[in-house]
Amino acid sequence: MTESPAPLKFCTVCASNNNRSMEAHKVLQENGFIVRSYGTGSAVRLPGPTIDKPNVFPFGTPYTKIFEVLNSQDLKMHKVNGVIEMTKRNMQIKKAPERWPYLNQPPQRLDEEEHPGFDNDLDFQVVITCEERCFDAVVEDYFSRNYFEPNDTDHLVYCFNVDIRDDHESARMGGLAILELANMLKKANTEAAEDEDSMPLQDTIPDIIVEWQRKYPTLPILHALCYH
Amino acid sequence: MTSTEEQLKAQTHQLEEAAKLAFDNNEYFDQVLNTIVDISLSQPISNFTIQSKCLDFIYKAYYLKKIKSFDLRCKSSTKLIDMIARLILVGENDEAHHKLPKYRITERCIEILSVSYDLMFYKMINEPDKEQWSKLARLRDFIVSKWPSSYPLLPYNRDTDWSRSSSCKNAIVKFMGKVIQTHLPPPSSREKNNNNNNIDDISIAMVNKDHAFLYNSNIGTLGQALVDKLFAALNEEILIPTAAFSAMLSVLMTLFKTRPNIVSSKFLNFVLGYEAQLKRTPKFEKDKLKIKMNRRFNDRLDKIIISLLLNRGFINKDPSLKSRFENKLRYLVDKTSEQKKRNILEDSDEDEDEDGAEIQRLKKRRKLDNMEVAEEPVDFFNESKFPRAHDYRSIYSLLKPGDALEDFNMSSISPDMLSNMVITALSKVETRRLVKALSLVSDRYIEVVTRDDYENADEGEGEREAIPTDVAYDPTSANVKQEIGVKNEEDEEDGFNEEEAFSLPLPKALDINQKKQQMKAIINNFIKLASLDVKEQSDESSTGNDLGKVAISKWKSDSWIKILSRLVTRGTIANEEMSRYIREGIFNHFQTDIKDRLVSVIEWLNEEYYSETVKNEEPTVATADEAHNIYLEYTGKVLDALIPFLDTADRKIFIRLLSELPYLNKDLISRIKSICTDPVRSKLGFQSLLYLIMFRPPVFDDCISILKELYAEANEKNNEPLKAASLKLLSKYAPKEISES
Repeated sequence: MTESPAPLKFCTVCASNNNRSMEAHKVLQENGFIVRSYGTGSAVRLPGPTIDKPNVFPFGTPYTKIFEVLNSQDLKMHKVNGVIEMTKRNMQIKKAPERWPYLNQPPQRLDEEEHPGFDNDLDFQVVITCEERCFDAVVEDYFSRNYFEPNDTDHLVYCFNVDIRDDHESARMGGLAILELANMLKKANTEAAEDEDSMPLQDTIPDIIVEWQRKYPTLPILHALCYH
Repeated sequence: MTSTEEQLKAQTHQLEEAAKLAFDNNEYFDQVLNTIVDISLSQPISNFTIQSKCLDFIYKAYYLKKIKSFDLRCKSSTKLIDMIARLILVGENDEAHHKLPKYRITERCIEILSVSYDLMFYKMINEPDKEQWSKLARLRDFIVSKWPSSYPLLPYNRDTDWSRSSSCKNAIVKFMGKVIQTHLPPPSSREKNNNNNNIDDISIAMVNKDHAFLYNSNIGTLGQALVDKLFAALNEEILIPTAAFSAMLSVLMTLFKTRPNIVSSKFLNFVLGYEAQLKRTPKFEKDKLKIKMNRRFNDRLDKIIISLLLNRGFINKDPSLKSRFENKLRYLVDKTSEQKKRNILEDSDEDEDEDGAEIQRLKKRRKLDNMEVAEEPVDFFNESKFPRAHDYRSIYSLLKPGDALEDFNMSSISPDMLSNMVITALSKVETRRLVKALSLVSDRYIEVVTRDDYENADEGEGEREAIPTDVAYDPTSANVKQEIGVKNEEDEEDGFNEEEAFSLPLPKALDINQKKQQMKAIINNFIKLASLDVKEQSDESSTGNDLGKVAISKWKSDSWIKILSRLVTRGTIANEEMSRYIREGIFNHFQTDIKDRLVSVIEWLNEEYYSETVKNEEPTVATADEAHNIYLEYTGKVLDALIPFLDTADRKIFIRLLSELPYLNKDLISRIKSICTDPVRSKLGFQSLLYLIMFRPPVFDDCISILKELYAEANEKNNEPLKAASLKLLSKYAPKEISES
């Protein structure tokens, strides 16, 4: 049974869907992956005039609007820490930061037309979060769905967390590491579909994780298999 | 493109068109499904392209719910039974002979069944069909029995198989969840509200008491058995791979909602008590990083579930339980933050060493708690009963594929060293382990042999028919059968008839002289061994090692007589003439230097005595003398051969002989008289009698009697020294006898 496998669809997740998830989103998209991204926090939080006064935006606020606000603050710090550049980059990728589609919560995301290649807001097989609490939130949401939607547990998702510090440079490095993980998964998926004698994809995941972790020892990984 | 390929392409195109029609216009679904099921049943299972296309359609309709209407899916659901059963329900023979369907087909079939089982059940409630239900039950039991093995991949061992074939394993566990939900009722409060019509929660609760076959206790028993199976696996000592662990938790979360009356308490206890560190590392998994990550991932999942239960208020009703969950969550949060501080690659043993004493204590305690559910330990990586190829290596190898040892050429070792290695290994191996290894090899042999028979018998079939169906037809099979027929004719022309069982001709019987000649050669060979220098080795047989009980675990200087004497007493027991011939051979060998060979003589005579004792255990034999005539005969001969050549310096060996001979009677002892009457060796004779009087009470009376005879003889011949020596012992051990005489 030799056939081209359906390509894996990816989702990158961080707290605010601004820095780490968007960097990974960009890198994966540039490399031909079908990808979308979310933030798991309650709102988008960016550095503000002082440490105790962050800039807080609701999810769905267009990046252009965020850019205007940041620009209007005319802070040196925004340029130094790369927030302005980051927002400019995000504007090239999608319109606005989106919130993870938590079960039974009002959606804070873009219309589905903004995401070609995806049938719905959870239509992906791989989720890569960039922080442990985001991983916990995503996996907990999937378990909640198993509980509250007992008849809809047929879609499998491979969840990973790659712990990345929330700064510009770490996000850049983390994005490359996530790209490598995505490439390894893609390769295993292709081999499993094209060659009946090769290992099924799920069986290869533990080895992929170990190999990847040895290469990126400073980015501790987490993994779980979820259904929705 | 060949015509077959073109034909295949056209067929798949037609299937795709049909599928599109059904999805675009649901009213055609039933009709299209009928056609697709018929096509699948009419095509050989080996036509993977067509079978996959057929399954794809059903997968989309049922698993991806492209057919949204419950009624449509339910109405047609039982049509899937024959098709799925034919694709994956293999007979024992097929399974044993690797005639399993492709991995993806199996996985798809299980997935489809897991979303249609309750629909089929529902349909059976309203439209009972006992025959179809029996087929479905067989299919269900077959699939469930495969969990948590590596099905449909060939097995290696239980530990390793936990992390193999995860997709099918997880598909089965989800199917088990569906069966549990269908076979066990929801809580009674919900049952009343359901009013027997809740299609979102189909279960046994909907079945009327007068149902032809569904209303019976087996349904509920199976559901409960699956719940138990699930928790038994979760509570196993082994560390379950994250993929399987995740899927099991996911199923339990669903059951926690739909069947809280059945799983709640077990589920909550499990979550509360889970500790990845206490789980046993799978045997043969050498990658510490992988294990360490497996532990961390599983603990993380446990933490997330606990957090979910607390956040959603699922355990608010029980404050004490809630506080236990809060404590566990705090513990896990602290633990993960500690782990985070360390580099994952460093201190690979950290997880195992962490809080060492406490972990060890917990491990011990839990081990005691779980004693009764201890799993059969895994001994070999490749414990498969089926060889992976048709060669000796595959039959004998218990190693991990790719292990460097597999390529080692044993024939490069000298036979001596090889036999030493084998003997050492056999003496040290745990019996249970050896038996298991031999059983595996034996199973594989049988499998290879029967596979040959099976394949020959099955060759013409070209098609596996687990469940006979009227529409099943393989147009190619007739041709194949014909070809086989032709082949058989050709074989017959060669004068070879496969049907006739071949048996080796019987060897020509030897006459007695030829037998004796052969036996002489055997005896001579053994006697030759007696003269060889054997390097003595320490006997290291460990306690509890049953192999240590064998007569010879290491070759020693006296091993030859052990074998030869057993050949006499046990090997040739049915042939008296031959055993007498061997006895004479042994005796003649000893006779040439009996003093130096006394140790071996003792060994031989003891064997003779033991053998006769065993042989004459029945109480029909009146006396010990009658029961041991061979022993007595040859002991007498040995004494007669030895005594004339003894001198006083031989005291030690002679007394050793007297002490180690298993049985003595007056006749044997009386042969000592000749030593006593010999003035030069008299002292040796009386010392021997003294020894017997003191240390062998059964012959006390015989010795006194002999002393009396000696005393009388001395009196008669006026032999003063003899008289004095006899009197000395008599006055000490039988003073009454002297006064009487």
